[in-house]
Amino acid sequence: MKNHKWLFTPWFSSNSQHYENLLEKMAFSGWIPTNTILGFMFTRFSKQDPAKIRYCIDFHYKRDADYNTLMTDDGWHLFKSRNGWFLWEKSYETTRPSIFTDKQSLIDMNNRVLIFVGFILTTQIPIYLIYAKKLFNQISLVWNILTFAYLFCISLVIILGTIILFENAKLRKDLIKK
Amino acid sequence: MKQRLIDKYLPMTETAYYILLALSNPLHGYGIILEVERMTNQRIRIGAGTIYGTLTKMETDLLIMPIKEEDRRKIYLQTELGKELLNLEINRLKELYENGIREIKL
Repeated sequence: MKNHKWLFTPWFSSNSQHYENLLEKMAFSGWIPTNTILGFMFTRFSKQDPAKIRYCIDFHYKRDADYNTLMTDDGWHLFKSRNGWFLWEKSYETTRPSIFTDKQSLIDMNNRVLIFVGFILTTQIPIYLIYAKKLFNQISLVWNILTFAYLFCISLVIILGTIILFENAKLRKDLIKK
Repeated sequence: MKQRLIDKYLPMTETAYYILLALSNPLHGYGIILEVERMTNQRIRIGAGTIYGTLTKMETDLLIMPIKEEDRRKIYLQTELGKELLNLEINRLKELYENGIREIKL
């Protein structure tokens, strides 16, 4: 029997809890995450003793030593960080820990992602204005594929931003109800 | 500016209230987690991510300020503005409490 496996673990920033819960469930059943690649999209698990480990995702586009120190002081271990995304892990016995203990923190994290998405989109405007005509006038297949890929990526970023906006609205509504 | 901050922070969340209250004395992030846990008899343990986010916001809004750094840990203290906001919240809570007690006794 193989003692390690890779799983496709798609997740979305506005509902990162699904990915966090999946990792926790796998660890509890004896499949401990050991690596993750391509923006946490593929995760490697290895067969070990079952463990209670909490995983949490956070996003900060600015690197800050104080942040890492605070997290490690509180017993969190950095599993992996890529492009502003942080995946933290912490073993626990009884009380399930979490890096965020209120909804406002989740709203704030989504806002940080939104600012980042907004920045990416804004930087595309001059590129688009300069190259749009050139891109659409190309008749070669490669250029057409590149144009399609470019527009596809931009559309994905716009969809991501819209979903985060809706998720934030939902969280705010929950806060007001409280 | 002060009115904008009053609108933004009041009524305070438990998290914001206890963080600002804990910073009546100089503390670093993890020190705040422990202090809030002590003050609330272990009822509240604020998450490290929540603490970091709230400290960043409060520092930007000048409610707290870093006074020194020890072993890569920023030590924070509430500012006069932070103290003023905390007093406004305490008065609001006092009014809630006193009205509640008076009405229940009736």
